[in-house]
Amino acid sequence: MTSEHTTPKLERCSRQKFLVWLSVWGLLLAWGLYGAFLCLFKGLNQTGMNNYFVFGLWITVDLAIIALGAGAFFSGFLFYILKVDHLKDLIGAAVVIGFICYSGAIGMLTIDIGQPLRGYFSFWHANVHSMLTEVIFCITCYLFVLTIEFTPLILENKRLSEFPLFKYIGENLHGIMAVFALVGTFLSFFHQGSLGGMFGVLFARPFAYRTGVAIWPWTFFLFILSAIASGPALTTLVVWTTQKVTGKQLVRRSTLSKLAKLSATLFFVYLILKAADTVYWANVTAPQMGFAFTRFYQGPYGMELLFLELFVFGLLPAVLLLIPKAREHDFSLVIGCLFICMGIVLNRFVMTVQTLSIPVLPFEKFVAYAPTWQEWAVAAAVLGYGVIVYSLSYRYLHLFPREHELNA
Amino acid sequence: MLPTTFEFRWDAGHMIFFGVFYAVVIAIFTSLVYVAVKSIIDVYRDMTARNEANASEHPEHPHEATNEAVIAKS
Repeated sequence: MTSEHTTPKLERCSRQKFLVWLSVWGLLLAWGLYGAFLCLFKGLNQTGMNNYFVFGLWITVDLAIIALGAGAFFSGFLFYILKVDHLKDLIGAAVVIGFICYSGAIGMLTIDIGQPLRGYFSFWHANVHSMLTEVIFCITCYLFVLTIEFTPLILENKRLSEFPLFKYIGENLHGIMAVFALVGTFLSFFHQGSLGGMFGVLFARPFAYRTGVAIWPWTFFLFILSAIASGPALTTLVVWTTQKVTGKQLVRRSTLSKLAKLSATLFFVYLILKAADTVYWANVTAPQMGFAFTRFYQGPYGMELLFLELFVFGLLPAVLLLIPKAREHDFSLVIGCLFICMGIVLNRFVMTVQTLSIPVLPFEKFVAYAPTWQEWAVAAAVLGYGVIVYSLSYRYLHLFPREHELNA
Repeated sequence: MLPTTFEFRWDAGHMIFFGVFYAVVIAIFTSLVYVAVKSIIDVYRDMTARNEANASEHPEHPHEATNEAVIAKS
């Protein structure tokens, strides 16, 4: 983030071109809003959720984008607390991406709870023994923190900073951003963990249940690690895509490579722990509960999902991005980061949907989950919303402090 | 969320959870209040400095000088 008063003029495409670009994503958003309207007006019978699947596509997407949005808190922590200076090139973009992910997730949750007017119940009648209470408290607070982190970027806009009060608010917020970065790290650490813990404590769902330390199952720690590994991968991917779409160099190439290396290193550590967790669960935890490991993988959710998660979208991108020469090539950089993101999406899908598809009572059968178009529309709307917010931010704000220098 | 809610009990779970939660909320709001107050002081300081600069440029008839400048500009 730049704090200088004289920010260079941004060179952007014509307004007409920009409006065409926005309208494409606006249509996607409108389709999603129509789906959301139907869900709110007619009820959750518009979705594929039922007595088997109380969680579906929306929770999968929620968990995935919350994990992928971790790039904001992790980059903030590295930049403001550990003083990793090269992240200055893209800390603004990371904040915007995080803001989009969290606001999108909360927007989707608003539809998912069916009765948004009762959304305050989770705050007012808080069940302190529920991992979800911690999640809802933390993601709400963290979205507020992200909004605060986003504000100086907005106030740096040339027209807004002409007002002295806005200019000083932006500068002073920027001055104590380390406090917000620290608070954001604290909140993110716990809600990412609690999202994993929520599955790990499900004693009646042996596919998800894990042992652990004190009140925290192993999934608590695996979710934190997977989030901080995949967040920088999404940031790298988005910044690279922005460069390709705009035809400009926005950050130094070495910054993207370093971020990808960081992501790959953390992802590799995550995979080792995930593999250890899977082996222990398959050989000890599940058999103790009377389940054979192979019984968990049936129908459309076969063993290939585990293979894809651990190897194709796990080991492969991690090893690829750990090779210095591979990181220097755009193709392998993008494939690596994309596969890491896909691995996390798949992990969240497996934990959400496959957990619920496995029969746990004698009269139950193995069932598959099929989302309706309304669910897809709402999920797509988050993408449309994200692209619109990001595009507006890129057009009107100084997301990349080195942009002018790199394109001079 | 608040001790006045009828289900609330002063047990360890509530105290730890809400203690941490309110500590975070207080940290956020204290920081925001600090930023707001400091920004208002900065704006006020700027205005004072500008007025003093104007006064030192035109020490004898500051109001007349200001009016002249406005007229000349218009």
